[in-house]
Amino acid sequence: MLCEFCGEEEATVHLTELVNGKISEFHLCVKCAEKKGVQSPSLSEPFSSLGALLSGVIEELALNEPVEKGTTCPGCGASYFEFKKTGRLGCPKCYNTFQKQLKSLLRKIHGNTRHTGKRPVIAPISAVPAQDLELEKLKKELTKAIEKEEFERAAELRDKIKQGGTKNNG
Amino acid sequence: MAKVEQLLSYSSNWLTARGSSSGIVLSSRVRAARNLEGFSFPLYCSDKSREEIINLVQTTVCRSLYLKDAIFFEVNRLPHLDRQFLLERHLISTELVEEKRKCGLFVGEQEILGMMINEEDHLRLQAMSSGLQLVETFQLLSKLDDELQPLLPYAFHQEWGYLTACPTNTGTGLRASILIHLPALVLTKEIDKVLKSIFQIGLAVRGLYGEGTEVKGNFFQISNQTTLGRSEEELIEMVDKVTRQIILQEINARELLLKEAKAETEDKIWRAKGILENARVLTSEEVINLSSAMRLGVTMEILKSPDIQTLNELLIFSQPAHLQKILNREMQPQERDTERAQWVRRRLCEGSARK
Repeated sequence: MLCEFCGEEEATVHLTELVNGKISEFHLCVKCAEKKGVQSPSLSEPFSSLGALLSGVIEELALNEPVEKGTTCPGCGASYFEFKKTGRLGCPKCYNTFQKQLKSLLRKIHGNTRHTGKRPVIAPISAVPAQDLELEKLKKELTKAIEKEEFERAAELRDKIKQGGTKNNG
Repeated sequence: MAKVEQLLSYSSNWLTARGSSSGIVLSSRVRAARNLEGFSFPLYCSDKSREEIINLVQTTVCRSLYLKDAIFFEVNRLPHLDRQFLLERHLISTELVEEKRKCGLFVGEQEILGMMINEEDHLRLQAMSSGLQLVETFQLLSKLDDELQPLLPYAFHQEWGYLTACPTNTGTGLRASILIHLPALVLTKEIDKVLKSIFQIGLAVRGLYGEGTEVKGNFFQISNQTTLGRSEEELIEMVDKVTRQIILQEINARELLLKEAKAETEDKIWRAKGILENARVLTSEEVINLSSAMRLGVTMEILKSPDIQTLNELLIFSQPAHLQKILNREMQPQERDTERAQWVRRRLCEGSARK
């Protein structure tokens, strides 16, 4: 995950803060955290006060996402501005309406935008071809195999990915 | 309508101290956020839709094996004290304590499985168990999820996974957390270092009652921070692995205490026992802190009694709403503190007898 502030360094400081009854989470790199005056948490300092200096971060972050003026979600009528205010989306359709902004926001929050976990048995119509998902999974496995120095397995995976690639091109 | 008093007749499964490492790890909890296609998220939902959602989920739960005998609470119709009671028991969130619009809670057998309706998301499935058993707890939650899924139109995106009201939960919608007791790391002042490394791995640390709550009695809640990109199994494994590491560090710190500060440590523990067994006025904060020291004493085998279950129950049942429900009357804080002291003395007496 990249730092929400500079967007350059790996975010290693994660804060949860309660502002006006709303929960906000912040992910910063060590440098930015220090600049913002965040100390490593200690018992004398309750966690709730830690991010007090950072309350504007998420708003600032969401503001950076350009969005066409007046766009509202056909599902619930919510605008991106409302999301920025509450930190909550209006309905599942908002994810399509504000796809571009959310993709970049999801990447900042999770460091990733591809779900690799559980899927409902009966899933809605696919937005991404199943083949691409399979390929993505193989690539992930390949990275893992290399990390673990399982080179035989890595070669196997590489070949599978190549096959998938030719299929795609053909 | 069901009454919260029904929950008083037994102890929640997660308080029984039957799980592994339950002296140090109080509980393992896994929750999944799910939403329904065709409805706005609860914050933006009309009252009519909120009711429709509750009805839809109730119909589904009737056909469920895992929640078939669950108790259902219309949380918005419960008095504040009852809601506080459910919060103290870790069954609802602080958000539901205040919610005025239609919202609900299912509580399964022994409080192992539960489900909040119309909290931040339409459904918040929860599984909770004693000690460190995240893998088993997740498996149980997943079974409930699998059972509900064919009957409910879950909002799911092919690339982004399960869609949630807050983008911080998108993907798996999964939060795996453990409640861990780390007094020796606090006493040896190693805790800052440990917490820093937990943050660096990308996990979150919170207080006894989760988001936005303070750390009390050396109890820490540790959970995954991100939900998208890693599978449920990977997230569970990460929290599980880190927890095992922390347990080892806590055990090392306890050995160090025995070596370097035996008398001071023993004194702290025996004094806590002395106060809890004899005090005539006790605040809930005092009970949390003193039972924390006693817990350290019992797990280090400095004290022979009470058992861990009694200490778990002391922690939860001596809190304001529980105390008032147990004694079956509403009380002002001052009266509560006196009654609490008496109740704690009796429980510790019984706890010693049980051992």
